Amino acid sequence: MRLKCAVMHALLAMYCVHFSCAQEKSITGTVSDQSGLPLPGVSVVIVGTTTGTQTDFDGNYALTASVGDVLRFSYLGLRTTSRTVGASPRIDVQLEEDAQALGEVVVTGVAQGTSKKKLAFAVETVPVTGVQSVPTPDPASALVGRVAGAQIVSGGGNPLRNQAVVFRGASSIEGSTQPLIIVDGIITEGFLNEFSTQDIKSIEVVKGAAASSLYGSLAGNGVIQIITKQGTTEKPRVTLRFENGFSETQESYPLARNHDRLLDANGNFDVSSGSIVPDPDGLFDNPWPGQIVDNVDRFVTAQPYQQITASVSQRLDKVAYYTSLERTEVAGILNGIDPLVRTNARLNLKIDLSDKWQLDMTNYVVRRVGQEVSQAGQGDNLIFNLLTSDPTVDLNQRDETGGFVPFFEGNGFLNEYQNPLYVARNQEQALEINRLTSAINLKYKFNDNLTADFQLSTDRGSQRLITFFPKGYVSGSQFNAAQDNGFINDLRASRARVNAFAQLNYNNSFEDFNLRSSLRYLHEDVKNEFTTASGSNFLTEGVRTLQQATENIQIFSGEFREKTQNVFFSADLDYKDKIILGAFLRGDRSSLFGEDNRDQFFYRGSFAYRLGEDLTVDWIDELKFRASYGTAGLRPNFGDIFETFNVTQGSITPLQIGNPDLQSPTISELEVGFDFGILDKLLLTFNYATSETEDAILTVPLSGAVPGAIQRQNVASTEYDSYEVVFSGTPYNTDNFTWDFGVTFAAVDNQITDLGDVAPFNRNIAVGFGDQIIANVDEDPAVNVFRVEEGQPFGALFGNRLVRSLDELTVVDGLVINEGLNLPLSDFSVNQFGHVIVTANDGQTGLVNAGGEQAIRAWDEDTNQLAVEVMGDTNPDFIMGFRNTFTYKNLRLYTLIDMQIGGDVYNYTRQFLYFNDRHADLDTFGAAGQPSSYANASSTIYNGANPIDYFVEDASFAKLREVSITYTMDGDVLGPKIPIDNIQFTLSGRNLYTWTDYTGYDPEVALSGSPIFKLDEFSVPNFRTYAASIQVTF
Amino acid sequence: MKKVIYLALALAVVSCTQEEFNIGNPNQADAARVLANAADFQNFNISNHTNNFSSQIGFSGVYFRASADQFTTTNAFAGFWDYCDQPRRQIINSTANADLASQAGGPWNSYNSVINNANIVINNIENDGNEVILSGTNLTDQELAGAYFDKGIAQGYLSMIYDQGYIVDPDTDPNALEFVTYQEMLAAAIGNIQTAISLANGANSFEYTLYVSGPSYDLATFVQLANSYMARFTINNARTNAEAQGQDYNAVLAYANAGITADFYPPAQENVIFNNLQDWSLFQLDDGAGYMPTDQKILHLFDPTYPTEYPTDTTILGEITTDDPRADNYEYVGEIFGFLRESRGRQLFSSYRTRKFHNNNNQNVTGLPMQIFSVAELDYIKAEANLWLGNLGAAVAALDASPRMTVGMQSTTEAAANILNALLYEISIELDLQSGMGVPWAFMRRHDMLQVGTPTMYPVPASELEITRDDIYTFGGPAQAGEVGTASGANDWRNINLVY
Repeated sequence: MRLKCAVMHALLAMYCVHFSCAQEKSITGTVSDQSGLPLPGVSVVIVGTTTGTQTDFDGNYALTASVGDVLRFSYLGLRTTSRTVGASPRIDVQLEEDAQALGEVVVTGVAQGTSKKKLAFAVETVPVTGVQSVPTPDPASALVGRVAGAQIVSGGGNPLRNQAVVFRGASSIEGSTQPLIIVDGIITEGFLNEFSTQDIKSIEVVKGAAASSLYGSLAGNGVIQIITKQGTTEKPRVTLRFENGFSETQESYPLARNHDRLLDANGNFDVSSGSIVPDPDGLFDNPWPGQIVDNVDRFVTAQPYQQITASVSQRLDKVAYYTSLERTEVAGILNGIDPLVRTNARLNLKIDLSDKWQLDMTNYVVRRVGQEVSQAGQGDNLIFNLLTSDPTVDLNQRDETGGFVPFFEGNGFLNEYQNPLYVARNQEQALEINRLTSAINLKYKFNDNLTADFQLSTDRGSQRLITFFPKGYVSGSQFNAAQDNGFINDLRASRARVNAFAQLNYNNSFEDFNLRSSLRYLHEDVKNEFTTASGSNFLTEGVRTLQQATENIQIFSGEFREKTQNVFFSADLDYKDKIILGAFLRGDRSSLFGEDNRDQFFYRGSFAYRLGEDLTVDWIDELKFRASYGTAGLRPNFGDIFETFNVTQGSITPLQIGNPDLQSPTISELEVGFDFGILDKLLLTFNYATSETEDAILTVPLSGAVPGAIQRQNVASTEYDSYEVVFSGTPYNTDNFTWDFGVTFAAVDNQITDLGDVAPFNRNIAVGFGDQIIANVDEDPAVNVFRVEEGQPFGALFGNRLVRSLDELTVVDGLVINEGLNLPLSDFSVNQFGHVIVTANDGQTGLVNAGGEQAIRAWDEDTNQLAVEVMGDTNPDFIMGFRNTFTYKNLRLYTLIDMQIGGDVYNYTRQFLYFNDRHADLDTFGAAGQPSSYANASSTIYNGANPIDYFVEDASFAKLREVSITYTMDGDVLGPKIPIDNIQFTLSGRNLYTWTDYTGYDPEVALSGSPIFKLDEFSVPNFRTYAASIQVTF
Repeated sequence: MKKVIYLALALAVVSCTQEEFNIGNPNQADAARVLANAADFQNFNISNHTNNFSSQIGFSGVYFRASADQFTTTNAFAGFWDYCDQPRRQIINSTANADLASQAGGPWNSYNSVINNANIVINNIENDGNEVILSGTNLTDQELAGAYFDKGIAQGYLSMIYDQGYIVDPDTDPNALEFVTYQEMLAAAIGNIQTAISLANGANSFEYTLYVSGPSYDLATFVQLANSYMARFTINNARTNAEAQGQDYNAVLAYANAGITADFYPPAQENVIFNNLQDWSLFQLDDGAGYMPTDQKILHLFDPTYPTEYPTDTTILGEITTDDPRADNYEYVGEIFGFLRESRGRQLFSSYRTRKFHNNNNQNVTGLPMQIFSVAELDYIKAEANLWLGNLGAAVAALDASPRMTVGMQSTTEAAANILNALLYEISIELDLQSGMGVPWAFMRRHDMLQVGTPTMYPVPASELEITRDDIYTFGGPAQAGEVGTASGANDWRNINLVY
């Protein structure tokens, strides 16, 4: 025993000696966030001791520590970081955002800012640092691959286009799937791409009714809230960011390099009979005479990208502000199309007026201009004309005036077509959008328990689209002759949303119970209006007024008004922060509801148990089980409730039967899940959500025998089940190296369960965003391919089908009746392409009824016509995202890969290029010795341009979505005379590579404004962008 | 605490207001506004007259021209090719067919809409007891006559086009609709047109206005027009030659004899009413070809030596030989095939374009005559009725009095087959694009002259059958040749020995 004590004393003495010998010294440094802004109030503690300090207003700290000590830097909402004291007396630290930080406060879906710990439903906070380092001006990009269950697809490769968003599954059959967009608490109209990504501090997302009930009839599609930056440093902080780069196409299009026309001995078209004639063998194996020109390369070219941002921020004792200016120019990839130019400015101001009053003001103004490009349809559609053009004609050639040749006549083989370069240069579709978003927030503190919030906000915008064909414009002869002598269409639209709310908050603690409650009254007043005027046949050149038009003069106008008031009460009660109960009730009274159903109510009940608080396990940071059941809705459009007659210049006809009972659908969602955090490093979140929409609104077609073609009714039901996993964390966090990752996974089943008395129908997917006036330049889709039918997924593709085996033929009385053939089964066989044919027709050209070899289509015995069946489903089996950030000293590498597995897309572009003899598949058929009529004649594969399963393709893909590498140079390097905190150098790229079996440009298409309706019809291809940026902070 | 109470009370009071949420619709009228007074009521009725005649010269007429081989195309736009193709195709009666609304859905919706509007007028006057008094003049019977006329015309077209339809009156229960046959529909049409005549005759003053601020027609013209339509619908009702033999041609003759004595070619009004059927049919491409080239049938009728189908080898057909000056309405374009596609069958080609009534690619021009009903059509109806009645001399006399002789200088032999051939010639050439929708097609079907497999009528569109939950069916296609709704080809025009 004595020996043992002696040894211990000796060890203790050695330790003391060692301790006393440790070199204590003063350590100083600056703590900043990822963008370089100094952070005040950061806790700096020597691990294992109670010694520590906080950073000052400039993010500076100073303390005494010894070599080998570990300093831990922690700050709410940012990832805790440790550094070991070494030889240097200075340790500067950049704290990164921690999207899943357990202590983070969220403000979306809740009446008051609430710690994530106390949430009983899922609110995802989206990290924006990554997306702020890559070239994209659209905040919607920040959600891609980062929010489990979010499908975000660009509405086309024109940078003006919005990205279509759907969370989990669609909660409606008609109307938009776009979530409600809130910016700093302001309920907005308009689109995400009108906001700057560089202004954003964080984005919060709630995906279903279980969390979005707070917003009632506005939020059936979920909510995206953008929270912008505010001043944080005592001295003015200036940031300048310059980003330059270029965009280019990802893919080339597979076009035919051969044809099936007869050539003479010199390899030219044989026109000895007076015109180009078919090669008798019917094979696509004859080379084009002359040089093949890559016209796609002439028109789809690399174009510049540029963004310049400047911001100033500061936080004084009673005042904080953040202001920014930004100009973005994105030219896309179409040669001759004016770029998108967005100019925006922001001023956020916070003033502590007194101990009781606090004032917040936010103002954002943006102007977007650019040139629209029509998608779908034919006529002067750029991509259509580009892909169908004669491959030996150089579209770049000039006429005698030095301009592009406007129009190429058909040669009896190819149709006549317009030169897309000419169209791009001469046809104007100029879009200008202006928007002002402002709010004044007042907070009043009665006492520690009782506070009040007041807000007056407005979101005003105007939009103008001028379509202008100058006098002398040469259009495609068959469609636009009236525009050859000049045409103008001037659309002017404006919208104004004014919100005002007053909210009373009562928070208190009763021993171990904590209560938070709120009562809010919100009034919304929305007014939209538009005027369009058009005319043609100008009297003079160079004049752009409407009054110079002398023919086809038309004027339209309209206005839409909505008034809604909402009252809600919210109460959350927790016991020792462990057991959490929430209750919520909201009433909406809206002019958009029918007069007999003017009030509607929404509610939520939620419960969570933080089991981790009862477990005495150190490595568990959080283990919370939660469940929430809530309801939300979607407002009808203005006009839906009214009886209307369609009144035009020459016709007055009943159009719609009124519906005084029309109401918001009720979207009910149960969300259960858990959050499991360990080792202060990793967080696993699982959500299961099951949602049911009742009383979904449908435009019910009425019998021709009753006046009025339609009535809007609450008749349909839909449902979805969603499984989501988010796994994120920082497995490695050492002095010099940090690895941060995030993985998202979601699988959603989406189904239409009831259509009431309405028969199944094919959905029109024309663009529509409720009462928002959209300058839509796209043609309506050419194919009715999306079916709304009970028991089918929402997104089901319906059409005809090729028969793949003899068993699939329809036999009646011993005869196969497919295609009206009436032949015995023994006359059929399966050919080398896996299609069923009439054996005797093998190798013959022409239609099957005329003895040609053609693939037989499935037949409906009951209707005795081509069967119309399910042929696909656009909903993916699952979607995933992989986000990684590796930081080594001052070097940071960020990557994002996202993927969709399963789901289909309808490739109408390919189908139409069969008809136009321009798709590379025809070369393949030719090489196989199969006449082209097998693929492009009326029946079977081409199917007369009607939907058929042959053109349904797998939409699966994986994309290297974002990559950036950033080097941060500390200001110290430049010496004390240059007052720069740091300089960041970044190389980055977006949409860099796509792995897919899809044969078109890109399986990500959203012609309709919804990712669910994947139809590729001459969509402008999405593009990749490379950029380099320098950001200076001082 | 008082502040809290005041705030809560204020919230409660504000939340109780109701009236501000009753926001009206400033963009579209409802029934109360449309029918607010006599002048508006009359405007509504006149607009239905406009709809009535617009429907007859609307886009949907293209498909009947295709089925009757009046034009040819391989262009799949709007399903044109489906109706021109050879062998004939079945009608795709499915809502998956994006063009259904123009095809079987087009006339169905437009004519039923006319009937519904007419019923609103009839109900307002007959059941609600309202009167239409303008500037002190009681126009009630005039408006009622116009409504019955519109309804009868619309029912007449439905009877001509569809195998079945609804007869809807103001007191019909919309939840108890029953389909009736096309023969029953014709009877209803005739009944309503006769009611219109009777009401017009009894009105203290009468005029029928085609469109607001447009031309008005007096009682005599109105009655003539009504009789003309009764002649058109009655003779065009039969679907087959066998069925045609059972028609009452004395009645047809009586209607025709009481018909118009001058062409009914009212002037177009830009963006209000114009001949959209002509607009599409006469479009000329920049290379000179027609967007809808002339079918071989027309050329073969002019020149029986001209082939009925375009050669499928490399031959470019030459010009026709004829002494009929009306051939100038068709222009030879040789090898300029425009939108015709080799891979879709050269037998569908043509070296001609139709330029009859061509107006610089634009029919939507104020003042341009709209060829809706010509006196010539009545001449041919009289000739055919006499042919059916065995009065060959009278038939030839009618043909000789028609543009066949007065313009075309084409004589006709007094023989039944020759008279029938001459009628095919005239109805295909003279009446092309000057008789609204469907007349050549209806003529050919009742003489079994349509190509085998051609639909002889439209089914009720699938869009309607889905609403009523009835079974979907269709017509056409060689496999159904000779069955109800599908031409047998028994007297296919391509096989006729064209002697006049």
